[in-house]
Amino acid sequence: MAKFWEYKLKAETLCLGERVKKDTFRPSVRTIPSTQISGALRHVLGREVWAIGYFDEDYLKAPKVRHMVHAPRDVATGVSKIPLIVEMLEDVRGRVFIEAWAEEPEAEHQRIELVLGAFRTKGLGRCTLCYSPRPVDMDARQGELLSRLPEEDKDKIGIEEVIKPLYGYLFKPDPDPAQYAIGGHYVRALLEGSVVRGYAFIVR
Amino acid sequence: MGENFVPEMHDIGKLINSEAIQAVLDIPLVVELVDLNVARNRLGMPNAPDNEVAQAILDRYKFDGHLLAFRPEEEKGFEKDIPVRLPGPETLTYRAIRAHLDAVGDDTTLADYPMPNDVGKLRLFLLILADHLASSVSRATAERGRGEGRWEVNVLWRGRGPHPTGTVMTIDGLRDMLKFIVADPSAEEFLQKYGPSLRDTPEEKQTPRDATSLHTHVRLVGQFYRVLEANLESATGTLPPMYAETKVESLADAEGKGSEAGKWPYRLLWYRIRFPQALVRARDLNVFILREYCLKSILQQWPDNVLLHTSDGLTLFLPRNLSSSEVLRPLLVEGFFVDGVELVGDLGSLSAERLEEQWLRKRKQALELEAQREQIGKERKLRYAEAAKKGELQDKEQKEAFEKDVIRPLLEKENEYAEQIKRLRGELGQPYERVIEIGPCSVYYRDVAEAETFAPPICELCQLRPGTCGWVPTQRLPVSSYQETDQLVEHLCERCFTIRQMGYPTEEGRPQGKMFHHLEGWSEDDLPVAWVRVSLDHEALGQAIARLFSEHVDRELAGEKEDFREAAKGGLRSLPLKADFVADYRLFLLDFRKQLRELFESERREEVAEMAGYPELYVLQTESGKEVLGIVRAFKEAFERFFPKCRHDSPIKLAISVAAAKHPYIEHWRFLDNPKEAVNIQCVGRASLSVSFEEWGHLETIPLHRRQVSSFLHNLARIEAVTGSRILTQAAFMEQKRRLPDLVDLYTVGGLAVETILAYYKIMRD
Repeated sequence: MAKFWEYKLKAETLCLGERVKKDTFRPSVRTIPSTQISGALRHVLGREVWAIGYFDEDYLKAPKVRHMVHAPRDVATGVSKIPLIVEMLEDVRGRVFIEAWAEEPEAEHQRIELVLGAFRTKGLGRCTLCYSPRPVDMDARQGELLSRLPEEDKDKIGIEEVIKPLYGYLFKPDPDPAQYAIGGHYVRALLEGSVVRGYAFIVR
Repeated sequence: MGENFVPEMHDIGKLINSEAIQAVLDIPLVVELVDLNVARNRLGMPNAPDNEVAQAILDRYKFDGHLLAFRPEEEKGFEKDIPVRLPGPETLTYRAIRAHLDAVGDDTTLADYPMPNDVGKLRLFLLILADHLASSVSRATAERGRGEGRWEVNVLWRGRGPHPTGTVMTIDGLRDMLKFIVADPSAEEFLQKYGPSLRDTPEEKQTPRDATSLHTHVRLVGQFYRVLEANLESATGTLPPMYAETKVESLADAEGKGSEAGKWPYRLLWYRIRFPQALVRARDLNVFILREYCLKSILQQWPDNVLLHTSDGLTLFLPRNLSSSEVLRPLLVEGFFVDGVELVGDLGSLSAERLEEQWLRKRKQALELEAQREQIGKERKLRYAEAAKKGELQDKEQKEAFEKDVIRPLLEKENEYAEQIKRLRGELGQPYERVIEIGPCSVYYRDVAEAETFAPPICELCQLRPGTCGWVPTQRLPVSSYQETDQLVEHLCERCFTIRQMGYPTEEGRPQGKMFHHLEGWSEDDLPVAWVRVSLDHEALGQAIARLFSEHVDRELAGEKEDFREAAKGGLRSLPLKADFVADYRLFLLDFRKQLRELFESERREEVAEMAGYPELYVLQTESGKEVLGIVRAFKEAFERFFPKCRHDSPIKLAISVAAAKHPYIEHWRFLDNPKEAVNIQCVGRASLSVSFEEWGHLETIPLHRRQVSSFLHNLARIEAVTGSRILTQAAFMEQKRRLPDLVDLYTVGGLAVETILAYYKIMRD
């Protein structure tokens, strides 16, 4: 059975981007998809890693939402097409669970600084993960999934049975993209709110 | 099966006021109303003259309108009754009216049913099954009501209704009804003639079944009956009937009895209809029209299987082998998905089951506890046997020590579980063990489940399918030509594209999309608009009904023993009550709309989503926070008229989201789709509050017009904006205890959070 380390997440601003709507509005999801947090950790740790997370229930009761207007320029023409309204979350509090590769994280991994989500170049997404040395509840439990992950990864969080799926798709980069291009495809995913039987730490 | 049969009419006799008829009876009337030859036989007076027979009936019998017969006071029974003489030939429907109540028992074999032929016997059998399924209280727990019968429906959420005016109280009314019965009318004719009386008359005069209307009961009986009949596998009109490859001989065979499971499994399902689209343009709101259109298609195709529906949910009664995907197909092919709970059980268990997740969780808990208790019992016996085998129990002291250390803890555990099970059993009702399968489920159209992966772009709205279509706002280009444009393109899948295109020339047979008349103009001027949604929470409705029914039983059966009351509470079947509630909810929506139309003239109002003609979603052009206050007042007043007893746990929620007209709908919809309390308001980017009616009542008392209060709250808002600290705002609030005691009382006595008071101020100050 896999083992997980639990981290507390803090971020001043965060935009875990969804697809742009109406060409001008970019909303943020209200959880931490496994693909996004795993990608960000892979970048900062320089190794293969799988993680998943969610925002604290208290935070989700009254999330601080703000809108930022941003006008992306076409790099070729240097012309801004249309202002983009970006939805960003402030003072975010959450939890991240990293699939462990040792009994305890090494000293340098007790606290991890990383940049997560969209608009990193605009200063969004700076997060701190602090290791929380308490046992992660890995008992099997039925309940609502708190995060979203590709369906193919469901074994990683012990999902034995999907009782009531909420499907969506997550972008998965191709393993060997061209040097300066980001290629990838969409894979079927289980979204938060699906009813599953899986590890207790990720269901409610 | 040939000959006309109207199951809805089985309780037509409940519309007769037996006492009123009895009071005016005299010898000539009795001579007119009964077949005297039958009466002579029953009375054992073969040669008595008419007058004597009639007098004997008046002396020893009582008129029972429900059974259309005179019943002996000393000894009741179908065979002892003297039926009312019909002004024409007996119909099968009439025979069933007479026989459905107590002519047959659970174990009576079908061959012995008092009907003229096999077709009649089968119909009576199915009618009784349907009657049991449609009852508001399970027969398993409370066979009969108690207390004095009342003629008014005891509406749980409003109190007693008006005395039914259409009740048959005169001999002329009775004659008219008997003529109507022999004319062998259709169900539609019956509901048309007696509909208003059925609505005002309770299912049963005695409590606790006086909580539902007869109209709902007979409508459900008709639906259940036709589903049962349509799914018979035996040849038309032959006995014994077969379903699910099983033949049955009696009611107990099909329904089950005690711990014995019945042989006819059926399914009850509650589904909530969801759509994956993010609503970002006005045209995307066509999804509501499409949903309504799909629901209508389902209702047309499966009129009897859909027991209850609202704009976003439906309750189904299905045979075991009929896939719910087939029934829900019109919704699924249009990209909707549904989720909810489904249970499979014999007919008897379904008649006492409830489709709320909370109830299902309790049931699961009870079953787990029973399994654990059984396990501990086995372990205790095994330990004892092992110890005896080893000779460890021969010595008295040894035996006592063994019992104290090993057996007693296990026994205590068993007793503890038994107590918990008893408590849960009381809350659940009896036959819950017999349900075969149970649980949450969701249904998608097959393409969602099949596509494991696809290449970008993805549909921007549903994010479930490839974005193969393009939408260019200025051109609304067809499917394949968008690549030729250099304008901004929204990538949509075919389904979302079709929804957005509704309202333009579309395929034949598809619904016409909504054309907004004013919204565009408001967007151009960027005026503030309020999105207003009223919604009915199914889960909360189930809980509210359970609470109201429990209070109803405690109040109406106060003189009964607690065991009887608990049994009556456990026997609640919420389906008929929910059907009545939804009927009232529709009237409530009309009342609310009427008030909104008075507050907002048509140029400032768009009515968007409708539930079969009953609007639930509005866009209103607002000018100030006071208008928001007006909307809430209108809602609250309408609510008080229809559901005054639900004000503490209202299943009906109001959500208002205010922002400039151009603000993305997705932000509004997120809020409107997830209302937490009875009243929910957000001013996007400024404030948001969710409060109960009681809390809203407190908030309304805040004298915002007082300069002192206004400036204090204004300062508080500034402190919060600058510091972002809740503690500082609370401290500043408490400092004002002397200066503004009434305001601080809202916090200390009213239990309102400072943030809520502040949010209210922010919303109302403009």
